[in-house]
Amino acid sequence: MNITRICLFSIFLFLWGCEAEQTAATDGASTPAAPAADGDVELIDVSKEPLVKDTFGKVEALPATLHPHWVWIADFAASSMPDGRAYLYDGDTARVLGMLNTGFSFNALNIPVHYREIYSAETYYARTTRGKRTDVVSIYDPFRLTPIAEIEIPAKRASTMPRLADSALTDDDRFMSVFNLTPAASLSIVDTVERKFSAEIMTPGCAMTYAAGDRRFFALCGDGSLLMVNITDEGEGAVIEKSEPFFDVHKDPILETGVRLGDTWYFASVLGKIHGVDISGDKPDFLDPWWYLTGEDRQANWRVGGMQPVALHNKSRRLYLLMHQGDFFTYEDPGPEIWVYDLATQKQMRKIKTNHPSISIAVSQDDAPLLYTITEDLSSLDIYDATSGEYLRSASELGIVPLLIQVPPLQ
Amino acid sequence: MNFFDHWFQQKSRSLARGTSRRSFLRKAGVLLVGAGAIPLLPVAKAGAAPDDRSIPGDKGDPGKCDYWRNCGMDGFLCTCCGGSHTSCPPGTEMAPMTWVGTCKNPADGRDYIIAYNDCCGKSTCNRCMCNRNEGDLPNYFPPKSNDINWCMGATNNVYHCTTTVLLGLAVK
Repeated sequence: MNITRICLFSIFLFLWGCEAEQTAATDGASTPAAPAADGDVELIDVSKEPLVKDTFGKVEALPATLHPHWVWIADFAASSMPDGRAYLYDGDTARVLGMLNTGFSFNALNIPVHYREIYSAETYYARTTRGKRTDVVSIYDPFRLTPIAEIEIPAKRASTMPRLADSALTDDDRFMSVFNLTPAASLSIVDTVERKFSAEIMTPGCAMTYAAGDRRFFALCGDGSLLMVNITDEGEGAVIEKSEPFFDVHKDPILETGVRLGDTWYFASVLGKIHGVDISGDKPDFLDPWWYLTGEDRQANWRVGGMQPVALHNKSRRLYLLMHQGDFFTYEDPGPEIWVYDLATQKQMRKIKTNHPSISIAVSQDDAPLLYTITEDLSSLDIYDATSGEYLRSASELGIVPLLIQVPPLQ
Repeated sequence: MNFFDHWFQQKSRSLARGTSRRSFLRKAGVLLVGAGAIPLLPVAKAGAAPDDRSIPGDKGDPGKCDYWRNCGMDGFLCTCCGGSHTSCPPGTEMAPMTWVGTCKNPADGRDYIIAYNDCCGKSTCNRCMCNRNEGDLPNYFPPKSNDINWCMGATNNVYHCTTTVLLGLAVK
């Protein structure tokens, strides 16, 4: 009985002590010195103000101005595919600014020039890996990083290893196209202003989607040609026209990672050529391909490769290619060097030897551009001066399976 | 362990990535999808696979990335996930369509057509990642692309692991 009373009294004293301490802290009053367990006295510096109680429930919002060195990392989360995500980093500090959850088999975001919203084509199952499948284009607030709307699209979105070209925005940012593969190939067109699905356009034999004007996309085809997909102001299919083949799919395929300068898209081929496609006219104009590899390079088996191995700094017209040595079918392998070319002269400018082999590269579009690389072990975003090639900093613990780098367009 | 750590550690470049395969693939592409046609449908049906127990000399460990049938693999080996190199783990579903590659059997020196049918309906197995890519082409040529989730043909497209179903001898 006595023991029970003592215990209850001890509990009361403990609780009362906590309450008293909390009240004192709330009132901002100084806390009296408490005797230490061994009898020594702990000194309190009364010349300093005590810490102020934190505000509970605070949630950060980003400054409402896009910084040119913000960069999104698209995380495929291959080891837990229903849990795709995108991380926003600050390239100047290598700090994470926030994250979006983006569903099953996530590819990449679509970032409009106006940056008032961010779009993301996503797939969800009602029970994570089973149940009803729903595909949507989610619309996010780019500064609060919250979903603000979603547009349901046909549950046909292609599930692939991530490619930037699995979805695209028109040049005026109004319409978004999403590549479908069931295995029939098509595009789902979404009106981002009206926030509605507008049409599905079949693209037989052709895959992915690249922006080609305010009302036009193109797809790459299995016979080495290009399919122009024109849409109306209502986002419905208009003239769809297939070109002649402009590369050999089997002997020298181009990589899916295209870069665009004005009205010209550039693609690197496995054997070492750059193919330019001018899309300013009604029909694509295929520029004369040029070798970015010398005969000596080819002899030494230098090869472009990676998940996102091509980047462009538009203003300086510098083309960045992620390079390694390997045979034909290594064009998805990481590379230890980045070779820089002047698109105007088609000459090599420099070779950047990176700290680690990389799987993906991208370049910011401002006047002091940063070169971003995802290391081959996917653990780090390494950041270099894109002009000098000097290493600057790294962000570690990059994500689950982060594969693509997305630089917001320059405003 | 990170998915891709595993991927790259297991990457095997030891086997020759032969030009003979590519020449075959060109022929197979014509054979399977029609001359000059653009493929609309993938080219391998799981149900059409022969009983590969009759093929002599199928040596090696299907649970290893350097197993000969894995020459075009990009995925988790079903052998390590409760299935085998020709069967899916319990409770999953084999995707009826996929891409096909051609691998040389070192035991008899012959080239065989291998269908990389995915098993679907559960999230990634995350064991025995293997990525070798021989014969793999970009995604605009789906019948030869291992970067496509072929579970698109199954009840749902949640990818679990990949098998290596032998379809027969490759004819040069």
